[in-house]
Amino acid sequence: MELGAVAFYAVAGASLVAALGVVITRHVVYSALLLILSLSLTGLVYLLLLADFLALVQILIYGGTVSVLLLFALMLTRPEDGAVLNHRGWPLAAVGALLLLGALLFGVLTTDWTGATPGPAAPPSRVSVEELGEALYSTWAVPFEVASLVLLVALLGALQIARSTDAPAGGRGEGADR
Amino acid sequence: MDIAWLAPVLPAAAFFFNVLIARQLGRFKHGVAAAAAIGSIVGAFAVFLVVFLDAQAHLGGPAHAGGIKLAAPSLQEEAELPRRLLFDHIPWFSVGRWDFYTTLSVDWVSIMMLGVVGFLASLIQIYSIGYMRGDNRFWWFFTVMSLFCAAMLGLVLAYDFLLMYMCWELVGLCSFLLIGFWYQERDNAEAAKKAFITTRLGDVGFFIGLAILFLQTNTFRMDEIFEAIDAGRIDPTLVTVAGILVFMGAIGKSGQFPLHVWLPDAMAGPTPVSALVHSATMVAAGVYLIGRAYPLFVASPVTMAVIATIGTITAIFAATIALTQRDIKKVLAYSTVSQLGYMVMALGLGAYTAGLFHLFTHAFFKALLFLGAGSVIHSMEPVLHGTGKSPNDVFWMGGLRRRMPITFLTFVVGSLSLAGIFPLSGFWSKDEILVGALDAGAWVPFAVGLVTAFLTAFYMFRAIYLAFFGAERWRLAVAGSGPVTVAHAAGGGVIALEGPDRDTTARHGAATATVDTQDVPAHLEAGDHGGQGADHHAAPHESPWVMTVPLLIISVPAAIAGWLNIPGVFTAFGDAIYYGEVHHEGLNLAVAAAGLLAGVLGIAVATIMYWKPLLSPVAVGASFPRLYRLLYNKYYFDEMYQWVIDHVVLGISGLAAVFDRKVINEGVVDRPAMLTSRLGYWLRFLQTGRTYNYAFAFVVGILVAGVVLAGFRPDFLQASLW
Amino acid sequence: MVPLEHILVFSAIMFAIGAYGVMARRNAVLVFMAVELMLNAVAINLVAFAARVDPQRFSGLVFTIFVITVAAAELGLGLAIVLRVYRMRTSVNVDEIDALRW
Repeated sequence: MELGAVAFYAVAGASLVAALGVVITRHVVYSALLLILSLSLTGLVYLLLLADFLALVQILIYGGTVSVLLLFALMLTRPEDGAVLNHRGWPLAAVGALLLLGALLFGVLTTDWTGATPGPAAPPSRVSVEELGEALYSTWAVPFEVASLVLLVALLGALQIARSTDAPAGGRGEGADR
Repeated sequence: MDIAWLAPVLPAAAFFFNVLIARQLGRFKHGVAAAAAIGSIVGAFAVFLVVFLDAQAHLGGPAHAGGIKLAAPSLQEEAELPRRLLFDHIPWFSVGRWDFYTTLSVDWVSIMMLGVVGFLASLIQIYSIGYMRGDNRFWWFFTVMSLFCAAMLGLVLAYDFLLMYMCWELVGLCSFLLIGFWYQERDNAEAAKKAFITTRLGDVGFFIGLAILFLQTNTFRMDEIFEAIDAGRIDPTLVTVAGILVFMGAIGKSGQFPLHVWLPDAMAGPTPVSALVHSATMVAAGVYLIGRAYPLFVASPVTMAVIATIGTITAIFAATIALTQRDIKKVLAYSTVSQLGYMVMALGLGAYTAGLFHLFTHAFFKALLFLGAGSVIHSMEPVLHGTGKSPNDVFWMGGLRRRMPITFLTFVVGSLSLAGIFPLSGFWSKDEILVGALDAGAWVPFAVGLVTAFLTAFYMFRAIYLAFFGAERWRLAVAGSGPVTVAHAAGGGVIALEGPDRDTTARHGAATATVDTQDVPAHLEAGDHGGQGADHHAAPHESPWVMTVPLLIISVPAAIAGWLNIPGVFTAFGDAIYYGEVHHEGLNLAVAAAGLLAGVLGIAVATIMYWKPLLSPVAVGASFPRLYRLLYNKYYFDEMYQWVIDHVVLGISGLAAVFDRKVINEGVVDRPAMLTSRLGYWLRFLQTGRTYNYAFAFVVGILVAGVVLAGFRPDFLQASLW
Repeated sequence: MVPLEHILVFSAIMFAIGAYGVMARRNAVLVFMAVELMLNAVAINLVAFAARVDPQRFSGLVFTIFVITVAAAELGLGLAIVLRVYRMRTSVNVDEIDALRW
């Protein structure tokens, strides 16, 4: 087994363990930290799949931004310690999730992927950031711009929603803002 | 020839102009609409003139030297000229895989009708300016008139059944609008509805007949259909069935027995409308249809027999009703029904030229009579206004000949013509029909024709004597003298009941019903000097020139139109319009004498009954009380239909209503609605409002979809989804 | 070289874990974390196909970038809503937020 494969299985396994931790831990902050870990490890998987830029993006956005956002949210909503984090029906959810997993695995394993893979004739190659950037600004220029618009709208929307209810639209309610 | 299509298009354009533009013009709309309507119909008449002159050179037609022609081709050339010019393949519309083209035909029959319609409609519309003056829907009257004329002219030119049917229904629609023109009065609205529904009964037959023909031949073009019939490509039984069904349309439109009931009621419309409906347009359409689709009918002896029988029954049946009617327009209406029966009978007997010739002459003198009656009514209306007496009632007229001489004269001309008095036009066409009946060996129709001629002369002169001669009975009405409601002057003697009218006699008794006419001047004096009821003192007077001039103009063709086909002398009409071979009836002197005699006899009897009181109408009526009542009540046809409607139609409707309430409403509408609402009530508890429940349902849904997509498909899914 | 199937299995497990989290967790913030896991699983799939099926053209990679972008936007909005809800009801437990029901 070559080194790359070993690394993949190790990293992927670790990522899954962390993900499982996210959904079963009884401590909300652990949950958030484990999520950062899991997503960062996924970034490593990207690296192993020769997608450098994506790996970078993944770690930057999830490891940096998203985690901060989540921690802030947790902090602001102040869940009490020892609060019950799962529904009473969580075993049912587990059964559903397992069935879903079974269906997905069934799909993955019964599909014949040989036709879809190029085979050894075209060995996997590293995608350079320059090429990706070029494609992003030429072929994908329009979706890219739309994505920027989506982000802008989300930003404004988040602002508007998160504002204090007491303050009218003009923002005269001093002190009501937290 | 090429501009023939303009004839219907001009009035149609006037209609659209009036509807879209003229109505916006505020107080000017009346004048503008009338101008557009009259201008367009006069234009259509001008189109007729051009086409008519042009047709001399282009159509095979009058072959004899007597023909009226300006650019006469030689006899040799004329034999080779076509009978008709077709304007083919005018694209119309497409439905599915069918492309419909329409066809117009210019031939002598359609040219003749173009002329009749154009001429009469022009004059009638001019006359209407006077008659309709002051009506607050003056503009609408002319607008509908335009559409009416457009539809009729289109019908005349149509040479495919589809276009013809469309125009046919448009004519029906317009007559509905015009008959119900004064729809504010319930009776008028009812009459319009009756006309529309009754003719619709016939039209259903017409439509089914057309559907049969179309299914057999895949075309609506008349020439192709007739060719298919000639070639025997259609089952003869089907030809008979289709023929009778198509004839049903004519029964409805031309007021033939037993669908005649709408025609007299159609008098509810303004009189110019009656004139147009009864002469050149609506009712002519039915006879014209028979003439147009003649090969279809000739192909089946059964159909011809049916047509002849219906025509014969109608002719005598309507004439007998006309004997007792009091409303001057109803007399004329039944006269029209009777005369239409005459034409239909002639066509059914194979006397094609005679039938259409009578249609031609009748159009003129009947239009004249109606306009004359309109003139009388127009002048009676202000006189009887407020007395509750109908201005149409001849029993309340009398002595009008001195008051309205022009109307009187033209009315007499029309009546003489209708009565078939030599040498007026009615004589020639009626004679032709009688000769045709004789030639066909049909003795019963011949005899019926003679009797009808006698009756026609009688009832026309009865109306004339009652309206224009005798005492001025309208003074009685104005002065409100006594309860005489069904009285009329017999000579100068007494005012008496004409017949055993049970209602009146029962109400007033014999004593009050007989009033000495010596009273009349007394009442008059009292009225004049006593000043009572000052509103009612206007005397009937002659109508304005805009009404009398058209009367005078129409009286000319009403008198002489028959000269277009004098056997052996001048036969332009018969040379142009014939079926199969040119067929000239010889002048059968015996028949002519018999016909004339019948007419003269009718006039004579009317004279001794209503002018010189040699024979009291009261006595005559009283000797046949049942018969009189039967005729006066029009053989109780309306009552019979009413009974059928009440008991059969309403019975079935009642069943349908119960079915609708119980099965449709409760079973099909309410029950599922209840079920849905109940189901919704229980299903709404699925909406827990908790997102994780939804997420779980989501996952289950994905699983099911995945299982199905993975190939596990129960049988029932395979059948319905894949 | 790791076969495609194995990467897909990895992503499938990640997705199932996320789905479990969405269904089982009460705290809205935790639900969002689970949603992030599911989105991440999808992204893994895309990258795997990009790397294994069509290495020369990188549509998969670009698509992943967009997925991450949208995920970020969604998270931002979602957390804003959570904050708002918390302010209104002093709780972010999804079983207590059930105004939209019968």
